[in-house]
Amino acid sequence: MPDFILNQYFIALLTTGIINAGLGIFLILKGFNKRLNQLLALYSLSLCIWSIFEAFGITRYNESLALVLWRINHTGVIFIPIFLTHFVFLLLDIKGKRAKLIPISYVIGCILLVLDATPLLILEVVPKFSFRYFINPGHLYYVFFWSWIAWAIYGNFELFKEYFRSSGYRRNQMKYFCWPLLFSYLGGVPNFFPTFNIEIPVLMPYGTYAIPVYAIFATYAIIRYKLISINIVITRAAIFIMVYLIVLGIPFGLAGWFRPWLMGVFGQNWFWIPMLSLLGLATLGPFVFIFLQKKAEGEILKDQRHNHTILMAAAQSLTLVREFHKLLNLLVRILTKTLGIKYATVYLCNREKNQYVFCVTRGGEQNHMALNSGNSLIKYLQGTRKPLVYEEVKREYDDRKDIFTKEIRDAMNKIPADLLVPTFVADELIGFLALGNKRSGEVYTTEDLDVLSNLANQSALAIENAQFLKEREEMQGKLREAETLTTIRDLLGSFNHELYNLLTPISGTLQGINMGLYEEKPERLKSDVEKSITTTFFIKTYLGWVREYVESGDKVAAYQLSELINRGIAYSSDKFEKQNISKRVSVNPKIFVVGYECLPLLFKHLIIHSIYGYGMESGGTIDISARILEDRSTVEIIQTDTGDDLTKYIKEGSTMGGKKFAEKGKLGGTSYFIAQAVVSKHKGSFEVETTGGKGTKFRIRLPLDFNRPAA
Amino acid sequence: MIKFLVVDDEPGVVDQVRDFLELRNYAVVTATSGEKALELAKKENPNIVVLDIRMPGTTGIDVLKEVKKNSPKARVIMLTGVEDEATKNMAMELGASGYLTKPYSYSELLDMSRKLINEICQEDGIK
Repeated sequence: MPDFILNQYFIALLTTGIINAGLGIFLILKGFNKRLNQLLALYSLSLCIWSIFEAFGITRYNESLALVLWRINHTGVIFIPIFLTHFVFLLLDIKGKRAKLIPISYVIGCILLVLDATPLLILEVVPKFSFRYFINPGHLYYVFFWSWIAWAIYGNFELFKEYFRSSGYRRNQMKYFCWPLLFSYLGGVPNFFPTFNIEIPVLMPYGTYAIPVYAIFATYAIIRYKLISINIVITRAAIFIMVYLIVLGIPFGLAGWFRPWLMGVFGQNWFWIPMLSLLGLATLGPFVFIFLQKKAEGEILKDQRHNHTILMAAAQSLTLVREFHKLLNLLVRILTKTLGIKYATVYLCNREKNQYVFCVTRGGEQNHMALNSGNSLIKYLQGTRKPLVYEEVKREYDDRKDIFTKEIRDAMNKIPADLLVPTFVADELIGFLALGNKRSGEVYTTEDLDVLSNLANQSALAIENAQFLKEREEMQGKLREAETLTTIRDLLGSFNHELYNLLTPISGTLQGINMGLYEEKPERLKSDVEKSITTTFFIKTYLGWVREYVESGDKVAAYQLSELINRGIAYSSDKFEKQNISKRVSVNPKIFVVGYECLPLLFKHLIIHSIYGYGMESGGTIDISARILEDRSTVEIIQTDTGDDLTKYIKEGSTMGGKKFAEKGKLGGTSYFIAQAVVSKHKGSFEVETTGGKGTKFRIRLPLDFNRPAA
Repeated sequence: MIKFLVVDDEPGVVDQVRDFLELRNYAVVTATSGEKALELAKKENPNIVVLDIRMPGTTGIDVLKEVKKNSPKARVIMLTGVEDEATKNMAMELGASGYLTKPYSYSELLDMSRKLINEICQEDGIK
């Protein structure tokens, strides 16, 4: 049995030595010019020297050779805490007075190296427990041991201090250093105990396996910028070890402990049993590993995955939001609430300026920063299409010190952003999300980044959509405004002209009285005064109509066409009775038209135009009909009257621009213009046909919904 | 004798201006459309045309062009209900002698007419 334990020691130490040697070489190849790599390589080298020479020191039969091996072993042991603490100082960027401890430790290390060759440190080697030779301590060994322990504890202390005060990415990084280091020391330090004639079963020799763990984790943490959650790593490693212990352990157990029984049952072919079990278990192993890994990670990441489900559902619902600012606010709200992050900011591309500009934030700074599309950060996002973690960029810059990475780091500092997630539509970077760290201090996992990328791209579509709608709405608003202004300007211009024309005879009458022009024409005076009085009423009516049109708002509503026509007729109902005018209305009550508040004015003024026109004083008919055209999006309204045709008045010079504008039909001129303006505002068409003796025919075509393009 | 042609699409305005000018012993012919004005301009050969700019069909500007083409010596006073600088400038460039905005005072019209009559008399050597 002692040989078995010795073998276990030998195997554990040799394994540790080989792993550390491998790591040391790997670190040198990966980047020997980097100081962190150098120190970690030296640390691995010291562990390698310790473990390899101890492995051979404890198994030698020759005492003097064993002593030499043990002394060489201690050249490694002496420098283990020195290299470690130096590495920690460099990793944590510890400067000032405390940094002076490092050269002092190297001086002490060199002194101990000299003492290692004397009996003051290692007195002798003697057989102990199951070891062929183990050391007995010299007088100074106790001093060495306790200083070794103190230095190792100090290195651990600094790491844990940083771990507890850091957060986010840094905290996750520290996890890779702290816990594996503590674990490795707890497993490794018992190797000192036989020196003081103490043996702890099981922990010795198996605790030795913990020693390379630290080097493995630290190597991973310094060569990778993107660190996954250590919980996941440990879980995966534990499941892997467990599964493969079973996969390999059962066949080897059968072959070792059950061999006599198997030989008794299966004879010469006994080895098929462990072989077949190995084959079966090795086949099942990967599946069992994946199954257990999914289960375990599902449990660990339960909350996170729940949040991801919410995020993905939210991402899909974003496309339903059409209002641009509402969409952006919703997006940052979802992100901050669901992920529990400090802030979320949206930057979008301003294509006119060729810049990425601040749009909205929740919890962040309203710094309204803009990045040119030539900025390294933008180029990087366009090139990689991947999320960018600030800490990773910062570390990359610390390693490379190149201008490109510096510009990226500086831009992320200014924005600010702990994480940037680009948003793409096809190949175009339309913007990015600038996110803060999680309030819980947890880091963004790879799954987080995948989900965020997905969300960003989903929201990119929604943003593009909403932006397009917003731009269209703005453009339509401008066009509407311009159209309205143009219409009002024209209307006012026309009204101005008519008003001045009306005022001219009033002014002429008054001047004529003043100058005595009417002295010989008293009847003419009476007639001119009556006309002037009537004209003042016209002016009052004009003013009322123009004001009604100009002040009608831009609220849009659906109107029942037949109801609008009836309202128009009702306005002039007294004229219909007085002038004995009959009306025929043929409009389907199911026809509805979307329009502005001024739409009812159209029918009021069309009827006024007909009713006040020549030829309708002693009766007539106004006929109104409407039908939906074949395009199913336009209604055609036709109004005919039996009054005189317009041409007659044009010939007589009593019209204005083809409009009825005779002395008796003055009101018709403005009505005509208002009706035309309303149709124009609703993107319709306005045609007038007037033929001798057949009256006037208006043909008006209106979109059923002027906001929608025709089918 | 100085002859006026008064053109406006408002018959009431035309009548009043005619009465006013006739009272001052000027010969007056009237028209309520551009077409009629061109016809009378050729036929009556007026010295001064009082012309409304904005009329249906043939506008005051059209009449002005024709009158200045056919009778370059004729003076034209433009009348308008709209204070439009561009139209005013265009009329002046086309050869209009003056510009009055409605509603105008008869004394303004008279002052402008007298000034133009003096010009005509000087050109023709009449004192």
